[in-house]
Amino acid sequence: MSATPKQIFDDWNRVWFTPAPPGLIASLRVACGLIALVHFVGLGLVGSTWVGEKGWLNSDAGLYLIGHEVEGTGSSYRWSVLFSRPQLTTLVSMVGIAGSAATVAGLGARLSPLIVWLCLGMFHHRAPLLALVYEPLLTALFAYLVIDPGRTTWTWRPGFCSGDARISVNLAAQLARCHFWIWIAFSLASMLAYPIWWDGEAGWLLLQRGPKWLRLGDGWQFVGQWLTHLVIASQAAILLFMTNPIWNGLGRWALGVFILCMLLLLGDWMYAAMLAAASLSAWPISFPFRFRSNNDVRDQ
Amino acid sequence: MNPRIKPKQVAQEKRRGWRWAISLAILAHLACVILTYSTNSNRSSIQDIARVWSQPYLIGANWHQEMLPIEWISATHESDLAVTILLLKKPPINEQPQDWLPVLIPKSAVFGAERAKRLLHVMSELAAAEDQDSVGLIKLLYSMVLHLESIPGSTPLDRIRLQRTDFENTVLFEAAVARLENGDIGLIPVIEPHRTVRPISSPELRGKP
Repeated sequence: MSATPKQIFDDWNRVWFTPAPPGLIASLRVACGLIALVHFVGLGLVGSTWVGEKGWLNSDAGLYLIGHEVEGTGSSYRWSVLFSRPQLTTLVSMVGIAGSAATVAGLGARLSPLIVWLCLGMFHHRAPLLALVYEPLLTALFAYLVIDPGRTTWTWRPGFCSGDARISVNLAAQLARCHFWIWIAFSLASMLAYPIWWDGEAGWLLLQRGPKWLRLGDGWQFVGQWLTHLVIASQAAILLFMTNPIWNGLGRWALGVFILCMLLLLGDWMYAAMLAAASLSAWPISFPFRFRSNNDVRDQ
Repeated sequence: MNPRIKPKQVAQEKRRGWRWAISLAILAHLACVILTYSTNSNRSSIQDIARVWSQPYLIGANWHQEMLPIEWISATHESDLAVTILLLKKPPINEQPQDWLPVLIPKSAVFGAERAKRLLHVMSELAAAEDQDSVGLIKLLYSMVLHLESIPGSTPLDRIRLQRTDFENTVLFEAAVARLENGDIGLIPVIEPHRTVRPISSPELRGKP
């Protein structure tokens, strides 16, 4: 049975414009805040060594690499203050740390994720080629958290914190969810464009450059092949389960398999943590406390 | 028209208008995200035009970052990527390979191993691309020389080199550090000994500016 335009409009409105409780996005906010905290602590320690006044990549080299004043590169849209004032690197990192901590605690409403997003952007615009693989996903999720960070009012009463259901919470959560789906879809599509992800060789090659303790001898090539097939199958399963309300719960298991495989192949803990955090947009976890909605208030 | 219904209708119309605007913004945004990620490894000329057209939003709002590094997707072999920077502090009379000291070794860069790998990867790509007069590579190496010489207790450098770490240790690029009279420093590319230059007396070059 085909859907009528009215049904499509109604479904669209239901998906995007139904008020949702803050708990839907609060776990995503806490997880992203923690990752950003670790990220900015790292940048606070070594950021100026990289992009500081006399860092490995000074402003002059940085401007060349972004194609400064070269037509078509879009360099004029980059707005990092770190080009003109590289001595502010540590300060930007410190502001990022404060913003991340406030985001985790749910303080500062939209302002704290906005500050984190701006600080992330300053580093990205300054040295896009040095951005790590988890950073694009982290920046995107913080942009969505600016729409609504799932702010709650903490109370001392155990088991409760309050928060009204809002359309903005749903908008932020759905955008994060769609972004994560698109990320996995294009990760899968990019991999399938190479024959090595079909014949099982990719896993073996990545194992050779991954963690040293996992570099196996020639007789263990089947391990690489298994991992290759698991990476592909788990990504396909994540996409399928995210869009299927009946099998949705199984998506967590597929995601667990994917993260484990990527950890074995790449040994990148931050990327693994980022994937786990981003998946909270699709499979939010409940906190030890529960969120008090308008209905709870009315019931009392 | 019933005056009691009018405000409700107006509010409904207003809400519908907002929903339309937000819906269009969502669709445009998701299209931009798909455009960025679909051009991660390969892109068509249409996608190129679309990227340039949407640059104010994609770059300005920081959605332009590519998703996965191509060396992950294509699972490039480690030996194809492994390069290192070597430096020579004072020129010995009989230069030996061990006089060159390695710097920016990824494993030693605490909290920045992946960034170090990426920077070295960019440099090896610049060396392979042989851009005009190696401007990009020289700017990067110059930035590195300034950084290394700014470290307290460091001694002035004489030469810097980008080299593969495979069994052949191929030198990708080498530059000498020149000290200028005003205290600045410059980098002069060292021409490889095997590179030959045609004499200016060649008939086809004679008479050309």
